[in-house]
Amino acid sequence: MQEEQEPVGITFADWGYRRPLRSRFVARHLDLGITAGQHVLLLGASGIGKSTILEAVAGILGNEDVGETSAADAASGEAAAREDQEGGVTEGSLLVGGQSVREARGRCALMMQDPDAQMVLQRVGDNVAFGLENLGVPADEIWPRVRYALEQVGLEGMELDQPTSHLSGGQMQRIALAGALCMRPGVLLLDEPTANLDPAGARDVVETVHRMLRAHRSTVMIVEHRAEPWLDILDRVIVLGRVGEDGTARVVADGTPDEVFTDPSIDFDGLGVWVPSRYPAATAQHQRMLREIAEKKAADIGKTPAMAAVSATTAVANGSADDTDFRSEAEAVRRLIVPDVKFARQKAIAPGTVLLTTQDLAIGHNGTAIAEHIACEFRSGEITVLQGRNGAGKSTLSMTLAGLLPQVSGHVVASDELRRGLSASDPHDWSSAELSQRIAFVFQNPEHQFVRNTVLEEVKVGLLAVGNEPAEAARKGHALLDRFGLDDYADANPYTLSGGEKRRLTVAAALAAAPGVLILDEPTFGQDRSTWLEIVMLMRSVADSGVAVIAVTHDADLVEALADKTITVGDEETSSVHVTKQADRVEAPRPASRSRFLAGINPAFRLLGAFLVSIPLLFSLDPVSAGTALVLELLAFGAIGLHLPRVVRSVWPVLVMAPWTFLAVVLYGKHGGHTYFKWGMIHITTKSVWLACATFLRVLAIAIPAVLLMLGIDSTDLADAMSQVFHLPDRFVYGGLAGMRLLTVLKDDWTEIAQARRSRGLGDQNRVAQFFSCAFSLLVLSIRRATSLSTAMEARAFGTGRARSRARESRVRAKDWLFLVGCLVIPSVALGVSIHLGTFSLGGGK
Amino acid sequence: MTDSDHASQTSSSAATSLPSASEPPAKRAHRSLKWRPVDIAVASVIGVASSLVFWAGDFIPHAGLQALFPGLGSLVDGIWLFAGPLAAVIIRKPGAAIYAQVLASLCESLLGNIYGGALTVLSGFIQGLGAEIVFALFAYRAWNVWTTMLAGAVSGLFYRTVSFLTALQAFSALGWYAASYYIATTISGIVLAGAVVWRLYLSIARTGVLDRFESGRVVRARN
Repeated sequence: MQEEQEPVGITFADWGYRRPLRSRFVARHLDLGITAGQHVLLLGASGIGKSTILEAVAGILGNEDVGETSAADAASGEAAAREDQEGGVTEGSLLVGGQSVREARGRCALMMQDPDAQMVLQRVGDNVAFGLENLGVPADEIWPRVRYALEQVGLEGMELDQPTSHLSGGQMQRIALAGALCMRPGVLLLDEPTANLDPAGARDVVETVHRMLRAHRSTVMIVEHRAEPWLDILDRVIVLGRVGEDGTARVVADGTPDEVFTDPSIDFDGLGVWVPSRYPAATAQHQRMLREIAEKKAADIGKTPAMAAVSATTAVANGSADDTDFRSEAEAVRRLIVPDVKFARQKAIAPGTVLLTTQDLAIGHNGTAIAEHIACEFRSGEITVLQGRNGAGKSTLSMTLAGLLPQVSGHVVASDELRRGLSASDPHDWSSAELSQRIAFVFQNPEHQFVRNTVLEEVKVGLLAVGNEPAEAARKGHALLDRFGLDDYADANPYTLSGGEKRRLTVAAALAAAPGVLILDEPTFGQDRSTWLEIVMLMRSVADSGVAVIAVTHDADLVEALADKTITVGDEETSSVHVTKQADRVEAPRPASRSRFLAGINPAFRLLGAFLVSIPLLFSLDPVSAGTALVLELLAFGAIGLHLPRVVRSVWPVLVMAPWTFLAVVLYGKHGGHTYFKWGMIHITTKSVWLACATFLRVLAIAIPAVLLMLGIDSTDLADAMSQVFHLPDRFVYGGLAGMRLLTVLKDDWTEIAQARRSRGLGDQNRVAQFFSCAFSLLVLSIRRATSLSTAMEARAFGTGRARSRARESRVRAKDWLFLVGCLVIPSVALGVSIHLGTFSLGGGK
Repeated sequence: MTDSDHASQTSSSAATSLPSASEPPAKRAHRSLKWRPVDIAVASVIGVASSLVFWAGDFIPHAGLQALFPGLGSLVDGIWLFAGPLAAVIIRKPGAAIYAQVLASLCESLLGNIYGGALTVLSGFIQGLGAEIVFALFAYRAWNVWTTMLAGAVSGLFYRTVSFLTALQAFSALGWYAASYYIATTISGIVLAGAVVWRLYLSIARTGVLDRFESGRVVRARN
């Protein structure tokens, strides 16, 4: 297995695919040959189906074909169509190295956009090894290959057992790449591998791919919106466009990068494609963009485009000035949102008015400052950009400004114009409803902030908050959606919109409450050129209507196009907000138990032990057996280093709850002997008191060892043991394990969902309603995450039916068996004593 | 409320009529009972996410409420029963209810709870089994609010029966007190692990995240 897989070619012959529930094919009648070893870039607008094509090549679309739905029809030129298990329809053929894509699974490695979704297991090394296990690579070959792959992606210093939480996006993407590389794939598929990364992280990933391709020959297909960083390794660029009446994707350009990007007949703007800067067409494209924005601003503020263009940019301005009479679109939106009476009373904010100021502000989490003495101000009509590396503190600063995070010290001060009658000047002191009408925060992930079932309801939240009547809110909601080009989807579920539409909706929903300050977190992340331009124009017009716009971004084009002011956040000397350099968070692996003895026991045996020590106690319900067991347990735990104070700290909830069971049994338990008290169903007797004592002691005797034996078991070790000791099916064991890893991700999601609720004005609800609303969003999000997780797992050849190998051995030693015997001795002795003393009572007696 | 009633009715009728004769034969052919990786991943996440709810529920003084008024504590029992039915109606594959419920109780006991790890996992299996049997009796073909409520009820009944053989040996399994327990648990199972689960599933399906599942497509195809 040490030898490389040879690069293989890919052939599409009259290929087409239609997603389930869609009437339109993603692509149809696609004929394309990619020769072995070729490096191909696939370009095209968002939603055109580039990712679908990569998933098809990887052989993970639609699971299995379930039969022919229609035969080939020579007369009409229809190819044979096959329906798959998920209701998708495939036409024609797609071969990888001469094999069908399903047979070829494992020869292709797919790397995706979302770093979090690709971390399948909890530790760095296990993630890289996952694909090799699925391919059945022998255990002794796995770790050398993992180390080599990590070296190749420049992570040779990383410990194999380091947890993947707290890694940066760039590091995670490189780990994913290492996982793909060590499978030695014949085809490497990269689906927007840098879209979620800051420039430094993106550079790392691109360089790694470059380096790796110099060392190993491989066929490569890349999907990215920007060709620029990849140009040096590309042999070929294929541009997809929606041409023709049926709206399916067709190849509109195919050739070397030079051929494609110098072809004057291609309308790159229309296709949503960015031309790399080294080609003359890029300059023209860039100037067109600047001109459009300048014209927008000019129209908004009522100057001639020429004047605005001269002041704003160096672009040539030759646009017509015929719409200077119309004030900004967003001003119109604003007029339409706020109830008429209120609007009349509310003075329009003059451009340049200071709305938000920070005074000697220190920001951070949990009272620890990461940056101090921050002084800045934000004015209406101005767009301020916060720039800086990932994790530098941009988000902390923006959330503090948005009133979503408390500051460590100093002040965030809202001006009178922004406060509009509130006495508190600090946004963090405002109620959620007050906040949403003044400062809006648009999160990077739109799905974190949806709170209603339809698009219309989503914008009505803000409209109702500012005092519109329901009927009025619906009317204005439609008008608002119309302005954002979303009115056709008014009744659609927000989650079902496309990426660009979701983002527009979140902005529309934020603006519906007519805030004076709008803060956007990475508004242009991963967008194609058309959507990008749309968002940029939208931000311009919002600012021109008198809103202070703050954008957190590392998109250089956005900065150039929009920034009236830039604030850099980072630990460099030149940063305007200076962040103290944070020590890298490296978590020491948690011990598997407070007891060193227990930590060394095989997790499967710990689980078995918990069963053996407790289940036999269920034979008898009497205080003697339960009490004896409890005493023996406490002695045994003492002997392995878990002394009484430690035990109490670990099991305190048990101690709090156990007395209640005592009470319930005293009142309603089986009765017999002397009656102390009787009223309705309550019947306190000698027997019920005896049984209550027995139940109380037995609850402790069962729960205490269960908690202590199971607490701290590492889930990866447990999964290995389940697979190797209990021989449970790997698919379920490791599927479950991957689900458990998502827990850590979901914790962060929860925080953000709750913050989004506050920002949307729904944070004042009662806590129960709030909890359920957040929990629902979290559940939807976790299912979404699970779906992409399964794609990531399949991309690493999981579930192919091949026999897996095991990278980690779950060892069973003599002490594990001794431990089990010990677990069995305790209940045996306890039951023996009770039999001897004559208190044994099977199931508590009659 | 009328809106939701309407929704559950239409969807239940749509779901039950799914494999009916009116469907073209090719459509019926792609009902597969084999688990795909995405089934495993989603069932796992449902299990893991549910374990948090189970674990949070463990802090409800169940026995205390029971002492206060028999049956009161058990009215919330559905909290510990819903993972199995939810996974089953979404995944629609044999074993989904057992898998999700066992995984949820395993994770719950790894977090540490008062009911004893071994007993928790055992209960999880029994609860999952109860729900599973109902869906199996309908040959994994009847997916609607009624079968889900039945699954919730049987899950609760199974669990209660086993509990009187184990943790609740101090109470007579016959008599008023036990009856109050049985009734409350069953009601809670019907409501929380049945009707509420069905509504939850419909809301989730409408978001489009279940488009790779038949359960999601039947709901979305109507919209």
